[in-house]
Amino acid sequence: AALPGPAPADWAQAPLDPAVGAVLVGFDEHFSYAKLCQALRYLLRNPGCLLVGTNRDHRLPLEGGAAIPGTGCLVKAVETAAQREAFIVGKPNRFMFDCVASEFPVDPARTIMVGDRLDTDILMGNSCGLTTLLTLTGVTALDEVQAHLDSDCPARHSLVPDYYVDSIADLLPALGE
Amino acid sequence: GGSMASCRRLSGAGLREVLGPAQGLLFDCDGVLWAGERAVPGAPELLERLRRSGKAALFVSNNSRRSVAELERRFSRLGFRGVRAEHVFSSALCSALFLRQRLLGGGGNGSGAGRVFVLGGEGLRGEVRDAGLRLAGEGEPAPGEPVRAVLVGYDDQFTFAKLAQACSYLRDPQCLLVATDPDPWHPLSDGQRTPGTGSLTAAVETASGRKALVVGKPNTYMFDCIVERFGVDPSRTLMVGDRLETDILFGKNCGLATILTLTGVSRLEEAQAYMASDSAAAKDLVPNYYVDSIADLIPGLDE
Repeated sequence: AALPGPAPADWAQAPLDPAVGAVLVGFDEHFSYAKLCQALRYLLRNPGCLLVGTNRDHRLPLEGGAAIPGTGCLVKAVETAAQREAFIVGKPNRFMFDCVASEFPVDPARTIMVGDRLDTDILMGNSCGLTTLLTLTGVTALDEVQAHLDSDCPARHSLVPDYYVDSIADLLPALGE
Repeated sequence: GGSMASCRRLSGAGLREVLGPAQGLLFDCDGVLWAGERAVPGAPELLERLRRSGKAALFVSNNSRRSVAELERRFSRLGFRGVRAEHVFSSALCSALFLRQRLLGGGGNGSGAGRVFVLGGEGLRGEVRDAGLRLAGEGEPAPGEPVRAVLVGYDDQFTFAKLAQACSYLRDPQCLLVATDPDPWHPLSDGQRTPGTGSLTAAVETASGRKALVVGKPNTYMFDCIVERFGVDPSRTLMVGDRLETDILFGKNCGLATILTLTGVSRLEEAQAYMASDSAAAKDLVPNYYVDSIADLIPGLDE
């Protein structure tokens, strides 16, 4: 619904939908202070109101090295204003794997997770007991993996894949004629 | 001093013991002097009595919406006499002074200094201009005038597009990221909350992978500005505020004794909970003293 007036004092008087039980933060290129205000109002009105984020990605890469802000920025804005942590559905949380496993007969010991991002794809795969395969056609370079492998920090070891390929096309020779 | 603050109610003889030796008081504004458009009852009289006692009153506010000229008019409109713009240190003013120092070296003309991309309203933008800096998006950009700083303030017109623009400037590692204050939210007069600069800064930090330099309380830069202009002695100055995480911690960081007033954000129970906590960081959020309202300070001053 359109907000009355130009200022936060007006927005804070707009009627709230009594049926709202959750605030869901996803990618929103029309994110604004006014929306952030409304989100905060719903979260404060009812402590039982859920705060859910689709994912925490900081940046969405574009061609040529540029990037636009990711959903994670918007989630952080809402979390900071509300002084609450969101439940994050996306990788590396295992919720999406659980969704897959509840609909398909997936045996983690015989399943490979293929991804380009260590802190989402590989971390989720490792956490769920999958074999993990990093492809180098995306955001991650091999020296990042080496740095995690060489680190003393156990949390960083969870970011290391079991295997890597330059591209998923490299898997073709392994598949029979 | 090294002894732990113990959150004692200031009244009676204690009031005179604490206020007597003080040369001056630093006041936060929102929730201390006024709430919305209403002065805290007795607050204008307190300032008048301070003036008559020969004690200085200065003002230090994280609110980055208004210029100090607007704040001077606000003081007058709400019934406070004799407060001039030079007595008021807002995060908007101090952010502009900070940027002037970093971009212009504290003096000189603006050529070649670079521009500032401001996420904020006209009050903040005006302070940056008054400091001799040029804003991104205003006027013809001269050659060699890249954007050298992104300043995040309270911006009720914040959008995804502005967030993306800020990030594109911040790809240059020479471009500073500065925030006026860290406040996550501010109270509205009906008890609701509106998001603060802190929530917008979190979005910019997350997108850019950078940490912002935060000018406002509890960081001490605004106290440096006060000392530079008025030469205040911290051991003879009291900090009065309503928010433990900003005002009281600011006082501790600057070596000031602190008084919490209960007409604003923080509740007494929160101060007591910090006092009971085992964490060293929590102890720094405990005020030396508290009052229900700053009007309670009046009996501590000479007639």
